[in-house]
Amino acid sequence: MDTLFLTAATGEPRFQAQRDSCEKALLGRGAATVEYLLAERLSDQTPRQRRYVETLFGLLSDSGRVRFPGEAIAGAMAAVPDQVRPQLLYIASTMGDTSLGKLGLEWLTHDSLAVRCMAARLLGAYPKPAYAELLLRGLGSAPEVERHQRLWSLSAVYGSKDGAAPTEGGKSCGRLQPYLVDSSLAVRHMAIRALANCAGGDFERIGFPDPEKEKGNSPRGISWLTWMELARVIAKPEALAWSQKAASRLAPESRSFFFP
Amino acid sequence: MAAALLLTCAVEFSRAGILDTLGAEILRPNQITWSDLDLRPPLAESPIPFALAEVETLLQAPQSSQGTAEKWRRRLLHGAAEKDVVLDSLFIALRPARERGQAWAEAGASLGSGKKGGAYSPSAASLIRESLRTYAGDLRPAEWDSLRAITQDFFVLHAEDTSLDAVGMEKSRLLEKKRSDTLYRWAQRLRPHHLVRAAKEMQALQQALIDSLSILGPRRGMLAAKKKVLAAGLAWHPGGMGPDHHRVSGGVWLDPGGDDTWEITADGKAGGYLILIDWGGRDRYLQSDTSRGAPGFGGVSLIYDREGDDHYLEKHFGFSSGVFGVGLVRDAAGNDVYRGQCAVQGFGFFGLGVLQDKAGDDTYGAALFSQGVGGSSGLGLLWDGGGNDSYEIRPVFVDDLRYRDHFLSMGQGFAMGNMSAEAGGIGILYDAAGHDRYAADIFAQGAAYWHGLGLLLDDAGSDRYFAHQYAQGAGVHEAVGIAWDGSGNDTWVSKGVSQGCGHDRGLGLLAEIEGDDRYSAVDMSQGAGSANGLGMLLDLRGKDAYQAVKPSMCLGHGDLRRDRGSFGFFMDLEGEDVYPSGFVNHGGWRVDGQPKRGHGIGRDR
Repeated sequence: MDTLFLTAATGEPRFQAQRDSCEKALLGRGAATVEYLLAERLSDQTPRQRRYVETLFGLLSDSGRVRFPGEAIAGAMAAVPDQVRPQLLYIASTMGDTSLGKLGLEWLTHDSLAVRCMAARLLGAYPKPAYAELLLRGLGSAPEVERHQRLWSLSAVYGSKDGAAPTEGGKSCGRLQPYLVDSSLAVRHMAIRALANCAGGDFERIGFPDPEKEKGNSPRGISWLTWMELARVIAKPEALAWSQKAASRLAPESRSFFFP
Repeated sequence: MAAALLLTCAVEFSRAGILDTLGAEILRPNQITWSDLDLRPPLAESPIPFALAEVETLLQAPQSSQGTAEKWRRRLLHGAAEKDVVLDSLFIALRPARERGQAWAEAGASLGSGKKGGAYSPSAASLIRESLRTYAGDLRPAEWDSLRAITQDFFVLHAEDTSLDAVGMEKSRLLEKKRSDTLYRWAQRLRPHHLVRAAKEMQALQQALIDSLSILGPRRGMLAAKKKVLAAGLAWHPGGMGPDHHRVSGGVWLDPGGDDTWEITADGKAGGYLILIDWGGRDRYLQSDTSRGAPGFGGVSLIYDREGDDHYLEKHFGFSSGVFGVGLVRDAAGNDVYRGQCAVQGFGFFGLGVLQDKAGDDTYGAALFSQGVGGSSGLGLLWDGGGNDSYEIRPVFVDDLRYRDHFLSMGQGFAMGNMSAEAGGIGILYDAAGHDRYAADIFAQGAAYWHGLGLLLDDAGSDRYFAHQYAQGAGVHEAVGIAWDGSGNDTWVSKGVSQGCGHDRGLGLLAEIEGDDRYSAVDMSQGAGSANGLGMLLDLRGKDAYQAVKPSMCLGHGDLRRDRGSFGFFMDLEGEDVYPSGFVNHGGWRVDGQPKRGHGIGRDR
């Protein structure tokens, strides 16, 4: 198994043919390969091998159609050390097996920050409207990296088929607005996406300030530039029309980036 | 003339305030703060062993990269009317971020207050011997032998071995890891301040001997020098006025003139020393045996050549390689040729390797890890003071991991660490003047890998830079790569991950101060951030032309990786410039709203 894995994981172009045949053999061994990966290949990895473990789990699960790789990961989670759990959760989030969402619920409040972040990611990877409340809860007190990850997942939840329904997403829009003024750019960036999805692209639901009536530089504490960024992410005709109207409210040095 | 030009450039650099301008022109108008650009992983588990303070500071605060370029110019030129390299200032740069901080700091403190190199006194000879003996005594002779063998495998043999299959490569990797663990463990036991002290005293002695010859002329100067060396109890090896053939391994060697041949071989023992001065003639320096490592392995080797068109022919770990030691070559004049294979022409690994060529149209050729390269706790510097020079990394080692038709260069201002483990060092190529040509392929020209700093500084002249990938201001995997060109109409050509590109939390900066410059790339270049990296291309003045095969991945581009945005900033502050379609003179642009995009912003003023 070592030989198959090491050959399949190598990146050199000259090994392409061997790589392909070893990968085929690994996939053919199914459950045995999963067992091997979990037992032997989660530590002492080169960066390339780490990446290949993730790829291989994805291939084995065949976009979620094959369940045993996900079940094996879920089964292994309790026994592995904290250092390995984030990688397993990350792998679970990329496999396409929607049943793994519940694993995110299980680890969302774990002590380890890295584990919590990947658990949050899992909820975004397999989004359900019910996850929104869980992700929003505790968002304010989460460290920057977790705040960002939860917002990423919220963006996915609200962007999913049912996530932005008025009864689900709509009522949360107001709860996301504080993160538009977060001190971290990464958090603001993700909050904009989450809010745009939360509103389901419905320009009216967010309640953009009227550029002609608002007097201040920061309507509701949010800068015109952030409103502009939000409008451009929504990108619907009425949002873009609003951005044209609001252009004059941007500082001249900022305006040229949006309207060259 | 050259000095005036240098001074002008220095003033221009500091006046430019180029990253302050970036802050005003791009960051503030887009509500980005410098702290948003902290490149450290948010969930980093433990500090990187052997990380240098200078590199870690840059990753945490990328705005200090401007200061870095200026600081290095000052450091190199500081207080030196003749612009001789000053070892003191280089040692101080090797200050670790965490562990072993005391050792180098002590070295820095002991050197910081003295004038250039310090004044030589006869009693210093015993200090030299004692310091080197103590330093060598930190490891057993067999351990030094192993260090030499492992280092050779790191930088020479492994790179040549492309015959292994995938499993063989993995076995080799695991074996190499075991050996590297041993190497780094032993390196922890070395107390480098003893090496620093010896190098400082030896540079003072070498300078005293040079002064004797300068003031008294070659004949009387030789007598005075002999007196000094013998009084110090060091081994004295004089040459004659005619052509001589010297076989050298250690001691003090002076040759007053003639076209000489210097056959230099390391004696293979730690704690050795070599001072070599050649006063005139067209000389040939040959490295006849590389099995015993660099002359500066585990000791100190200082070579000075005053004039003549000289040839330096090395193989691996040459005359200006400092491997657990110090190797310094200074060539004051002449059109010189430097030719070597691996780890030559300014290579440092747990030590200093410096090549300073002060004047002449010089040619530098090597194959790998050369021309200003720093490995862990090492500083490699190639400093050329003037002339129209050619720097070439020959295509020898196929970049097996990525290509069949491109070659690893890893040089021309490059630093690398041992990814996911030990950090890299500092590699600098500094060219003060002349119309120069730089040619390389993969990893070169102000590039770095895993907690290293690669710096290419060219002050003046119309230069041409050619590479393919990871080049021209490219920081790859939590590393910092800076390319900085002062003036001249320059040409930059590379394929990708180049020209101000940061990849995987790396910082890449290409700064062009003056001149009508031309940039050509395919993708992920010209101010591009990939996988949470930060890339910046900043051009201050001149009518420039930008060419990109995939403009959407250049000129201010950032992708989205690990669910977070990368940063790519492009800024051209002056002149009517030529752009691909979609970009404008006197305007700005940014990419918003696309799911796979991070923060790509451009500005032409």
